[in-house]
Amino acid sequence: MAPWQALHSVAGGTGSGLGSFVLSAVRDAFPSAVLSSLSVWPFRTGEVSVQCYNAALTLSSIYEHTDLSVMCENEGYLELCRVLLGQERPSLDSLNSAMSGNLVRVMMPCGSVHKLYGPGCPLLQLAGHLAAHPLYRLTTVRALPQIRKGAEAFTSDAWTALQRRMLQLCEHGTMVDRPSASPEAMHCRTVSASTFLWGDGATDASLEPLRRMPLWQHSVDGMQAHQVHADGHHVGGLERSLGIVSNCQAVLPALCSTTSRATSMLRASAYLHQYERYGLSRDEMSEAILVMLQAQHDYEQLSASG
Amino acid sequence: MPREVITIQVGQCGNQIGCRFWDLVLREHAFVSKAAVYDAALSSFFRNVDTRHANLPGLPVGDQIRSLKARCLLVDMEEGVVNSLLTGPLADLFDARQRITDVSGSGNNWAHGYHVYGPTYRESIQEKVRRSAEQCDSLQCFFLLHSLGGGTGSGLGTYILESLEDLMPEVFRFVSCVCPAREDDVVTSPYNSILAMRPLIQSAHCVLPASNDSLANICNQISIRDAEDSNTATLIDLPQDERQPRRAPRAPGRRTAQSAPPRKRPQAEPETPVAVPRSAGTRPPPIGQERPFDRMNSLVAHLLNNLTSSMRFEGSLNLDLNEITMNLVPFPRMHFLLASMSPLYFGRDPRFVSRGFHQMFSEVITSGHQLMNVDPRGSTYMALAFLVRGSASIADVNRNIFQLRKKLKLLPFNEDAFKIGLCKVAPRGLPYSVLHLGNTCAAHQMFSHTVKDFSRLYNRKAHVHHYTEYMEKGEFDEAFETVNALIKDYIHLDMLHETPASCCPQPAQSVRSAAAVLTPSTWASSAAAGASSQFLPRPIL
Repeated sequence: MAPWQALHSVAGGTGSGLGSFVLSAVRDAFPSAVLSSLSVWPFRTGEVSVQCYNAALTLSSIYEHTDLSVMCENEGYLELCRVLLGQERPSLDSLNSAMSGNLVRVMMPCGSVHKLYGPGCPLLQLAGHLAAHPLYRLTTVRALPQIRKGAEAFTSDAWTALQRRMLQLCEHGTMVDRPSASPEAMHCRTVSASTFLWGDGATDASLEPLRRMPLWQHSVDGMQAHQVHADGHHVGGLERSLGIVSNCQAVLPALCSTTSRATSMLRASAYLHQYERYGLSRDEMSEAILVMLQAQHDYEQLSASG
Repeated sequence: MPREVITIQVGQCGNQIGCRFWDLVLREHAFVSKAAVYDAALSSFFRNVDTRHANLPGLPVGDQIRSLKARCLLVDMEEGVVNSLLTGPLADLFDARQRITDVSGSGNNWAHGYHVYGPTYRESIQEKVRRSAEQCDSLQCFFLLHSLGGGTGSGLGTYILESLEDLMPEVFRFVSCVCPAREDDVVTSPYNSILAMRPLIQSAHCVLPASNDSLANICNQISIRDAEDSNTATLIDLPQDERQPRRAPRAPGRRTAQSAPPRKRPQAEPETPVAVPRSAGTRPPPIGQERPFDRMNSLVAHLLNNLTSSMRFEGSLNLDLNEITMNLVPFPRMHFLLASMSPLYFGRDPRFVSRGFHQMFSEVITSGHQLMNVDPRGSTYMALAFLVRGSASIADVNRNIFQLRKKLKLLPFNEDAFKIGLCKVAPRGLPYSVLHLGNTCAAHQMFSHTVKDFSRLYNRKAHVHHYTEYMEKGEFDEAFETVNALIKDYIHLDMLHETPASCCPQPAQSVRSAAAVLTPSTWASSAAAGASSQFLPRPIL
């Protein structure tokens, strides 16, 4: 049974609304297939006035119908483009390219995954591992090194250096590879993760730095919760590169800000008449916001218990 | 894309604005797409017809342009303005069957327009609207252009608005209305305005008021600047200004030879304009052979043009009219948007374009660029939208919005209520421009002024007998109550930042069921059960 991948945004109307409907339709038609959604979350400074309502409604559909969701935030990619890729005024096209650049490292067919599961897209094949726990289904993607176009030929990082930087990114829950971490950066715990090493010597590289990734105490210990795959192919013209998809607390900032906005908007009954026009009642909206609150609470609990 | 808009121009003011609007849209299209192909951008406002057949069958998107017909309905109870449109340079643009005219006019009487002409022409209007809608693939909204101070525009216009609600409730109704100036030459304009505001509050989805005072101010401001720096072009330039050297006195009605145009480039203004003065507003001094109010009308036309640019041209963040309604109207009746545009003038020589992108953004929230006569400083904004045209990136816009937020007061639960639209095509002659639409609580000032003028007349029952000829006196009180209730709601929201009671339904059942939903869900793991009490949010009202 072939897996399904949906690509949509959660802030707009068609991507979030019709997207949620499509997810439920695919789930009804193929109950046992792997269904994954790649959702783009909007700028927290504001892109659409009702983005928190739409995000809550989409997230409740994601939790109901999909097995896995990859969360890509506009804000992180804007920072990535501006700071590291050196684009002063990044356009939406460059954000999209940066996003695809990150995603390709976890979605391209990988040699070691092929040996275990057969041909296919690793992200979808490993969905069972990444979203093993029913409460934790939101993942984020990071890739290293982050350099501007044209500089690939001049970059050569050792595996240990790449892994250490990736470890730092995962610990802080950020996506942008910057040397100094801000003091209030959170200590981010991971439920499960898959790392992909691409390039020369990938299959023989030492995985010592990655073993130190902070895992949730209830995750299966050691390398079971954190799987590593390798392939000798040069992705993006880089000699050595790393991609990781991790189910961790990095999703918390987006969830927190969206839920707080959504609850205060619901308390003030703002915009509800627009949704009632099409048959979405206040109760359904509050249920959807509750799902988001629950998800936020579950992810917060990851640090409380350890 | 089939996102068609049907424009309905009612009354003298509506038709004059419409004339400027169509002129502007055609010139912009001719400038942007040199090949005369009927593309998706044109199809939202025009049909491409084959004039060889009497019933003007439509041709599909992608064909060469044969003859463009605007998706438009012309309504006026006096024949003068509509006739001059249908015999003027834009004559071929209008389908002669899509007009409704009468001879005697409404005499500046809202009741005459609403209660007499309304029912008389109801069938005819509905039939023509239905015919226009059938010619669309997927109709998005109706655009109503009218003024509030007169009789036909305000009376018949609002009657048409209500009948559109009955006929096609799911299609959005956008209204662009011109409000009379404080010192207006129509004595009964406060009556007409208040009586017209009741249907606008109840039946429109979104209203963009433009006040004659503000329009005149902007025009004066531009003329002063124009006199100082002759090398600039302005937003309110008319076609004849472009073809004549700036310093030379404007020769009346001189037609210049044109090189082979794309078919629909309009010619110079007609030599003998019908100078029918509009019944509302102060008049700027006429320059050359232009009609009075032409420059003010072209400001409103630019507003409409920029508003719909995202539907007609490509962009990385499209902004449709239904998205504007969705994002800017959190509470059903508070849908009166403050519009402002920047820049208002631009240098012909690109080296002298002095307006930077950031300056443009900071200017657009100042009162000198607004089309509504209110002072939003210090008032709370419910939501804002910025439609940026031209070569601007999302990073620039975000940065400017971030700076702007510090100066503006927003509702606490809606702090990220900014809607951004990006359109690749800039207006002619400019590298970029921005249209700002703000839903601000200061809109009540517009209503308050009119209510004061209304009370001054109504307390003496002056001129009321003209209205009671056609309607009950109770309608005055009903309209007055509706407008007052809305003013109170705006002030309540502004002062207390709390939703006014009329906007949130509070049936007891919904509170109970919400509480039932908020008990800890069965998903919560046992480890989390202990902490669930602190996670329970306060009951949502």
